[in-house]
Amino acid sequence: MFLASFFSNIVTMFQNNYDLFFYGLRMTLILAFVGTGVGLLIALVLAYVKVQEITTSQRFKAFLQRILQGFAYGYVGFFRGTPMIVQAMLFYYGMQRMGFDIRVLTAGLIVVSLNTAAYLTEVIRSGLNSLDKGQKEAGLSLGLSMRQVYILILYPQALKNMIPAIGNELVVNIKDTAVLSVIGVSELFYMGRRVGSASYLFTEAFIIVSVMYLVIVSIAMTMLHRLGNGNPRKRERVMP
Amino acid sequence: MIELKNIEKVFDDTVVLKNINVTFKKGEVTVIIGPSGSGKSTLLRTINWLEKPTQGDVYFEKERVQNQASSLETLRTQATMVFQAFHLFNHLTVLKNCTLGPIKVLKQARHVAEAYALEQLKKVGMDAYKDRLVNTLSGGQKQRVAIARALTMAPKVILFDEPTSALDIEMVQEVVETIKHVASEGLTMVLVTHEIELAKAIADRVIFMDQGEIVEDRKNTDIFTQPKMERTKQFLQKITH
Ligand SMILES: Nc1ncnc2c1ncn2[C@@H]1O[C@H](COP(=O)(O)OP(=O)(O)OP(=O)(O)O)[C@@H](O)[C@H]1O
Ligand SMILES: [Mg+2]
Repeated sequence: MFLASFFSNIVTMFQNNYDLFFYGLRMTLILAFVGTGVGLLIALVLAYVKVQEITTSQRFKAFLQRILQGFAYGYVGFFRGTPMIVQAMLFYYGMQRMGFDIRVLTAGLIVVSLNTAAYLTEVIRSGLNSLDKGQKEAGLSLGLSMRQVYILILYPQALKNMIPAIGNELVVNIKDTAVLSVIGVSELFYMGRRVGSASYLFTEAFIIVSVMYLVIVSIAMTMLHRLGNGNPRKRERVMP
Repeated sequence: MIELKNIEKVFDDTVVLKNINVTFKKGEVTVIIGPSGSGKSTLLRTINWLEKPTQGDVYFEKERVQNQASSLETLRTQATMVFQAFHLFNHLTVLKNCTLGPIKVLKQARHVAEAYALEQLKKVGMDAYKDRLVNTLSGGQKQRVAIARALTMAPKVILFDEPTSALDIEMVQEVVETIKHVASEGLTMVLVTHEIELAKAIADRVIFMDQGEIVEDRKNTDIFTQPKMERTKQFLQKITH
């Protein structure tokens, strides 16, 4: 009896509020995809700055490189060393305090991008370090500039090895953007709480939210698996 | 054409090159020999500044090489390197390996670069493989592509660092023949090798290095038959037995 009414509550709740849940899901996906994409672009630049050896004899250039490197280290240290929920509060209220009337979604997108960039910087850095240093030397000895060596030779090779790690970051973002509800971004977690508090049926609301997260994360992981290994079935067969 | 003046190179605390004063002339094929760890690779890599000398200067066509990007890029387009381990660009095809430099550095149009690259690939006998990804090739084939890649830059000098040392024995000959062919065209070359047969065939000059120093520097290939220094004699005895 109890179970039956419990399930029918869930179904009714979903039927009455599916637009809110799907709106939340859409926000979650936007945050995760934009955050991972923009984060990746920022990370490509930061990783480049971080891995440079300073060899030039031009004083000013070397000085500039050192400043940039210091910034990159500080950046990565800060974003990996503090919780994203704290970063979100700091950024959103910091902007308000400085007089910028920023929308919560914009703030959320910026925070998740900046946060992802810090993690992906380390992923890219280790991807670059795992390449044979002969690749770089061969590029340089054709007269390519350092920037060309990275863009034309090292990044294409490193990125191919990094697809699983970038995908992993996407999955993490689908789940972890829930913390952005703290500044009022109406993503899936936020919507779950809203629907739940309207009826005080929090358990039912968060069962729906959990199922939606699970489905979307599973889809993302399956797609990534395909992307990573070509045909996933072939791979399963060789597994013990 | 290339002059190294008072070059010294220190890694950590070990002196790897000391008191290197040497000039390489246009059209000359110089072979550098010497025991493992004697500094041959480091000397070669100093010429195109893959290693920055701790002391001393490098002059390329009378111009002092400056330790800044533009000077080094100019130097390297004219003094390009063939490595022991090939270092072909793994994500590109044979042809793309050979057109990357000409298109991006020499700013050639793609069709011009491709035509010239095909010519060079033909020279090394690899034109039939132009669309293959490089990691599907054998070692000997890879090294021939690497030589073609260097040639596409139309450099003034090619630096070879033990181009046959990473090859299985049955592939050494095809690369040796390719290098001989390139040498016969009058290109300036500096070549580090343990292949005495190759050295004898192409050298206008042979330099023997030991412990970071140039011990003997001889015209032609006389060094192999009449070495002057005791250290050279000992080395030659060791490698011919
Ligand atoms: N990047 C480096 N860091 C520290 N020491 C180095 C480095 N590169 C070379 N060396 C040292 O410098 C010395 C000379 O090395 P080099 O590679 O020039 O010798 P080589 O004559 O080319 O030897 P081989 O015939 O084995 O290639 C060696 O003792 C080597 O250990
Ligand atoms: Mg060597």
